[in-house]
Amino acid sequence: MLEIKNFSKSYKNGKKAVDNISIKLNKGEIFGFIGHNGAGKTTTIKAIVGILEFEEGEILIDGVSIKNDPIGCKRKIAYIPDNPDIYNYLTGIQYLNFIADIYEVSREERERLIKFYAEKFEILPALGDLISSYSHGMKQKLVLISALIHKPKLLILDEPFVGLDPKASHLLKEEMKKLCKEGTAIFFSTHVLEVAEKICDKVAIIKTGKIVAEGKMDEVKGNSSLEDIFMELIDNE
Amino acid sequence: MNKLYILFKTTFINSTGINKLLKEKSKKERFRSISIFILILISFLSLAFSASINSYFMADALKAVGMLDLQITMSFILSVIIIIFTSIYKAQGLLFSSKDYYLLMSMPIKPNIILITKMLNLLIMNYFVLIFTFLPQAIVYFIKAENSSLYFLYLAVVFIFLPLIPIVLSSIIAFLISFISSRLKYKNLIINFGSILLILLIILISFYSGDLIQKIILSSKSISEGISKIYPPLIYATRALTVLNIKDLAIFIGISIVAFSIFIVIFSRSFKEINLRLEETYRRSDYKLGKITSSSKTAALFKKEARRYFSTPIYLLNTIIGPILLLIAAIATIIFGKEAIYTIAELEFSDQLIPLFIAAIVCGSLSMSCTSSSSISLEGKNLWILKSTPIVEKEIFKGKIALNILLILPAALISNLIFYISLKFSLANLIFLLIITIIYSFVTAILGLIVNLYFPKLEWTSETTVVKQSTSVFVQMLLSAFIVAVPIFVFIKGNITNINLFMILVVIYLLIVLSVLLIILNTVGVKLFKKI
Repeated sequence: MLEIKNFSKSYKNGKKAVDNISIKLNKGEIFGFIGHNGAGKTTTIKAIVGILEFEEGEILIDGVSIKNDPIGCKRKIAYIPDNPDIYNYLTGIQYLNFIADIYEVSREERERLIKFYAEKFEILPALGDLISSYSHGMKQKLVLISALIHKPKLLILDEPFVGLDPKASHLLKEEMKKLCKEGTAIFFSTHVLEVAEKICDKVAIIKTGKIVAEGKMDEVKGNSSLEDIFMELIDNE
Repeated sequence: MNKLYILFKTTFINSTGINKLLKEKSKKERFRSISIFILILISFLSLAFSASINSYFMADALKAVGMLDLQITMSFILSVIIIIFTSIYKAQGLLFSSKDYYLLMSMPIKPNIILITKMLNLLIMNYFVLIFTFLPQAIVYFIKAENSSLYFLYLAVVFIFLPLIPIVLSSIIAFLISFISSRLKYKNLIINFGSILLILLIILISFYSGDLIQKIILSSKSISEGISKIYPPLIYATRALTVLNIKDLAIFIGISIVAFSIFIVIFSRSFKEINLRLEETYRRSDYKLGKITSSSKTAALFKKEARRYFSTPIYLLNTIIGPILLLIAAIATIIFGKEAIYTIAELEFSDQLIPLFIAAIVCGSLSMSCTSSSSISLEGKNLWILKSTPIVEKEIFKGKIALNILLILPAALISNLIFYISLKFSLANLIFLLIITIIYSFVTAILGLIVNLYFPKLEWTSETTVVKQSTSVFVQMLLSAFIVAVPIFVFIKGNITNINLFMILVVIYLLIVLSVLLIILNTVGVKLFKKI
């Protein structure tokens, strides 16, 4: 579903933010992308979802290059950024409707899914209010719902658990598992290693732009905890 | 004091973007920033030049009737008006609901230090404007009055204290607007409506202001008494500069400091509470899911743009004034006939030239109403939504251009028809006018978008900085003025007699400009959007 081949991205001064990384993610798999602050996680994610242009390497979504067919690829992706900066001047329902229009979700389908997810994440009564009046967590929930209502084949999440209350975090984890069973591939970055260890099928650890460990969760962590492996790899110069 | 200095220095560097000039490592970016800086400087210098020339001629005329002192008074009045009106919006963004409020309040800094820092920032901005507007006029006065060189010492002191009271006034107005609006559900609607009314009132007053000032001055025993009725502190400032009276200077400084200090003392006590009150937002939380309607991508993007526009008062007010002024001018011709046109032009000309002049004012007012020149910048931190969703760049552009066109074109077309009815020019002229209006509205909307793609400002703390102070808006105004100026220049220099032929040439010229802009938008524009 997602294949990153020898992807590199340089800063303006020539220094590499991401250096020759390759990752493969199949349908129905959950992939955890772990690294310290500034390691290159968000840069990689932004390139996958088509926000960031890149020259070196290739990123394929369902076998299609994001460079060659960005619109076709974006149709299959839902992206949730690390900070829910969304249109404060719209109401919650107007934002969800806008996203549904862009992804061409039928009227019946969007009604059903908005009702389902808004009730699940307990945000339905607030959908008529302006987003500017929402708390950080409410905005996060709204972005999550907007990602789920167009049934993406690939869900990309950047630090999805930041700002969510415990119940919403639990719901999100459950939803991620459910989506995987239905065939959606999920790629997410996180600092919460316990969560990654629990729900991920595959994991990659990125350090200063390079992948230092990658593979199935059991193979990467062996008998240790993911946190021990992460600390060992990050501290090891 | 130390904290005040640190805070002022940091906020000043942040708000002016001076680091872009000094610390930018990329040579290309640095060159771009320096070029923009030079361009802005040239424009301000030309403003200073025109202020000097105007006041020079005015001083000559006033000196002839023995009223030279009135020249410095008029420049004071003008400066005070400029400061009050330009600071209302700046104060709203700086003092109330500013994005750094929580960060600053969480630090061990007294609220009055934060308030003073913000007021200092406001002061510096106004000093910058005064250098190019007030100073040239004050120097002209010095030359004409042949005062002693002590004048410059007095001038320096007056210059420093001049903006204090106007800034306090505009901050109070800004506070009232913010306070009232935060307590209402449809606050933006009310701000928009109220501000448009205020602008109309100002226009109305300015129509009669010449008479008004004249009447006040004439009915007063002396000029000084006249001024004291309009704005009392200016009488002392005027006397300080005209007769170099130290007592008057001291009184002017005293009044300014007292007014400023009272404001700081009262507002710093309630600064925290005011900002917290303004943060309280209206939330009903009683939504029930009803029937949802779906739209096409283009319609969805257009609706999003329109909602952004109508929910951002500064964006709306800055751009809607052009169509409103145009409609007022058109209606004025119904009442006053050709006289209204001559008043706007400040000269009389033959009937044959009236349609050309109308074409120029229509294009001029459309240039003032460009929403697209800040539409990319206003995406700000939301830009990821457009970039990560499956929308072709051209669709995004269409939404932004459509909003601009729909805001300006109906008013412009209606105005054209009113002009046609009231001024009774030929049908052929009307058709040319309508064609020019339609093409030019596309030209200005597309030009604004291209310029904004070249100069996006996505990191901002207040919409005011994007809408009123960004490079993009400034460059768009300059280029639009250039596009309109070319045919005017050709007409004046070319000794043109066949008006219809000239109109055809203008249409061809605008079509060429439009085609070039469309090509740029669809090629370079798309690339620029991808790179942002």
